[in-house]
Amino acid sequence: MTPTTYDTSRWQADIGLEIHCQLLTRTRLFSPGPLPATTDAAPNSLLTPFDLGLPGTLPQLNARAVDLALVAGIALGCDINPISHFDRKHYLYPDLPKGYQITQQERPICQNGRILFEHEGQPHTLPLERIHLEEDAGRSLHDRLPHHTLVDLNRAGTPLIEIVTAPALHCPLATEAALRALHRLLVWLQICDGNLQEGSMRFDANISVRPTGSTEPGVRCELKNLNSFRFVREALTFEIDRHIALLQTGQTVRSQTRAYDDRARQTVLLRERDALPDYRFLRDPDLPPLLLDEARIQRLREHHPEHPDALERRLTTTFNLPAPIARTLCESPTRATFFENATAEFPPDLPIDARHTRALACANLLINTLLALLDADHPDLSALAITPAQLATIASLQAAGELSATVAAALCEEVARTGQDPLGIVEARALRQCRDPELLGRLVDAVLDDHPDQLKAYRQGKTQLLGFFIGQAMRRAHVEPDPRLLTSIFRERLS
Amino acid sequence: MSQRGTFDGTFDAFAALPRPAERFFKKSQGDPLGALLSSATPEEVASAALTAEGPLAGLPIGVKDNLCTRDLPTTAASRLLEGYRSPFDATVVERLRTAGALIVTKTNLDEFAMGSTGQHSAFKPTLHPLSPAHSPGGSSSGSAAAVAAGWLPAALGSDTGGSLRQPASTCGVVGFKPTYGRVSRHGLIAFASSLDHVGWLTRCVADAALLFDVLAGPDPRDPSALTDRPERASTHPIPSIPALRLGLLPALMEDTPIHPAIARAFDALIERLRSASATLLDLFPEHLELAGPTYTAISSAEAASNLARYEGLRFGRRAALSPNAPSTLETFAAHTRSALLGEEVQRRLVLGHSLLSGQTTLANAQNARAHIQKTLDEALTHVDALLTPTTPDTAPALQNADDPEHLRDRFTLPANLAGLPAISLPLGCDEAGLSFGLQLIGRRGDDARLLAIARALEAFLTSP
Repeated sequence: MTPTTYDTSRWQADIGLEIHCQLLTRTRLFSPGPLPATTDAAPNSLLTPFDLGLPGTLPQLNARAVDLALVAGIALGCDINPISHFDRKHYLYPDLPKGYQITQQERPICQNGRILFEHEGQPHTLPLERIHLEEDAGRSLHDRLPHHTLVDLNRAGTPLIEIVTAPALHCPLATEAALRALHRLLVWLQICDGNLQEGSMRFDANISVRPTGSTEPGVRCELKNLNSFRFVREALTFEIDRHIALLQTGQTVRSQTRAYDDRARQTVLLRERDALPDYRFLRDPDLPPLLLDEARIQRLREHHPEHPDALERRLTTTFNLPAPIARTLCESPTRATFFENATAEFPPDLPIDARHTRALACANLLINTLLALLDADHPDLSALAITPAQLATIASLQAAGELSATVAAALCEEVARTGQDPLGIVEARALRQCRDPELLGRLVDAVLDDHPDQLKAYRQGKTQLLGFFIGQAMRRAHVEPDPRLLTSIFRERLS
Repeated sequence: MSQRGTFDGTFDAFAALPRPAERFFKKSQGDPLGALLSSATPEEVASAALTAEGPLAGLPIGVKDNLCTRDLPTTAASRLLEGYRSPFDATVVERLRTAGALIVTKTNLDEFAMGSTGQHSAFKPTLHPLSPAHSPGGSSSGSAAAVAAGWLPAALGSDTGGSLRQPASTCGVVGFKPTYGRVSRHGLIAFASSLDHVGWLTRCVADAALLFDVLAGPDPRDPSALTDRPERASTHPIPSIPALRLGLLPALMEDTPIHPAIARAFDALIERLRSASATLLDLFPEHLELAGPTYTAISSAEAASNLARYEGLRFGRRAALSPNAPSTLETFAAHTRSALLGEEVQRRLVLGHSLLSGQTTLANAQNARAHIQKTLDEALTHVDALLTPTTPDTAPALQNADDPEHLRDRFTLPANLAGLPAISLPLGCDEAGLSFGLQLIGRRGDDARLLAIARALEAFLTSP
């Protein structure tokens, strides 16, 4: 899909985002009730009296959720409000047990800030308006029984942050890029697991279109619950075209809430927005103002991890790693930390070239061997028995030519399963490559003696037979020869 | 509401009951006052008494039915919660049990604690223990009546605008409401969260102080609970009369029509205190005239919000739907509320919802409240406590018990708006023998000192 299907010299789109992110806490925002770790927890099996909205219950604010919201605020360069408030937002819905949702309307925990992202090779800044804390509602199940709605409150009270951007985006592709950058950062910082299918992160987009040059904002439509980056891009593109088509034919855009039908590839009307619901906000009288002392914010700032972009740049420059490898390492903090801990084992005075070779070996073993061992049961590197130091040992042996790539990978896999000392295995099974020139010289001579016809053919110019000779030598050897040394000896003999 | 375990004089359990509990079952038999909504059986109480240990061991206590109890139903005197049983005990109930008290009964109240008459219970009206033609006041009507009738040494209540001090005053007992946050609200069915206080009715101030030491203190389950440990009240030194510095509120008194008997008794007390060398200062905290409308706005708005959860879907009762009944959730909830909530509650909810929609009045009310709080705190820097009558009138006759203009709340509302501790103790009786009380409002957080001053005054009032 092209970034813009419309004439930007005539029309300008203004796009703003509201992003709901489920915080990675163990308990709910206002109760000690556990959260479903998997989606198959039996409905309504994890609830405390507060989660059910039972009479006499009071909210207890989850300090961990507050910290995660603050980490998000710090990462996105927000101003943190030393005093924020919780408000009740009233509406009647079967999965809203108290008859209201506790959110932050009037004074959110964080304000301002920005999302930094790259689009068409250029750095961009998307200003934020606010980040606020709120509790999720439960789930209404309309399709289980005919004529009945079932309610599962296991999700009710799940801590969310809502990130609201300024309407400062103008094209669907840039919007997608901004959302991807935000997603990566929040997942990286372990604020949110970022699972779009399960709704851990959900996007709403506000869109309006005006004639280019006009300062009068266009009529706004809201696109609800876009649960993939692609849907955001497609829905916005469709919507911009729809608005322009209306405007060009002299019609008016109506203020509506719309959803994206990804099969029909079009947005569909949910409701008119003329009569906005009256949420009758009330400062929650059960919750005192949230006071954040400077020490708490400072502590989080000091422990604030390096952002993935910065780390990626640092890995690329320190180890001279190819960009795709650095990016793969920076896909998760555990991965990057494992790599960094391994490379920390390298001797400090290593020349730059040697460091590069070892780091590259490390990265390749990590990405190609170790990550391949992970599965749903062992989703994390910490599930493997191998330590970063052991990975460094294997990578160093490989970089020094002592182990072949194949042997190094097999050894890595074995250590990952058993946790045994890699050097011990290397010695016990004599896995080191043979690098003795005399021994290899004899091997080369023996191969050439055994294949006089091929030798003749080679001398007559069939130089691709070098591979054949090397293969023969490898097969015949009792210990694995260093292929580089072997090759150079062949070349020497054949020249 | 059925009466469980009314004593008929033949229970074997009777012998195992401690004396005060035995007295409760004997005296409350048949509940002629309409003070009780549900009671434990003598057997249940006798078995609890066997293991009871602590400062309140064996004492029977009544609990207002808007406080959650596991073993007795909790209805807030509403049809909507008829038969509801809480899966947990309110923190105060838990603390009573730990201290060895026996929860023998749940007492009647105005539905959801809204009303100041005891006549708005969905199940039955509460009658005045001394004069059945009169209202005992409310909303903690059942607790006040049961203590005043001598059935119980103490009962828990709640006080949102005077709901505990007013019936204490009209029934001639002591009613104490601590500093906001001093006693946990966990397990109190919310009416207006920022004004609701758990308090108690006793026969003397010393008992109120004893209960304070058992019930007050931090509770992680209530975010508005104060986190510091309160000073002990029962062992606090009692000040001498000459050491008392008390504030009077002449402007507020002049602004309120006061029953002549109350005015006379109050003035006489002031004179006696002066002659006994107590220091009495006239203070003029501003904005107290706004207390009525401010209270109406804030309490109605918070009530509308707090009662949003009662839509008949998840707990309590739901209204029977006629065949052509509406089927959307909204109309279903409206139908349930119209059918199962009393008029007084509905009136406040309608008002509350419109205030929440408008917001301006509510913002003004919050503003006025902040002023009242500031001005009262400032006044209390000059004195240890403020002194007023508790109510401007004695118990109203049942037929004109309602007080839509909050005239009767004049003296009790400011302490709720400001979150200050306040206590009502018996001051005297009118010609008809109906009681009235004296109110002391203390400094924020200084509950122990307020109770000590009240003890000094209580002794002074009963001394010749």
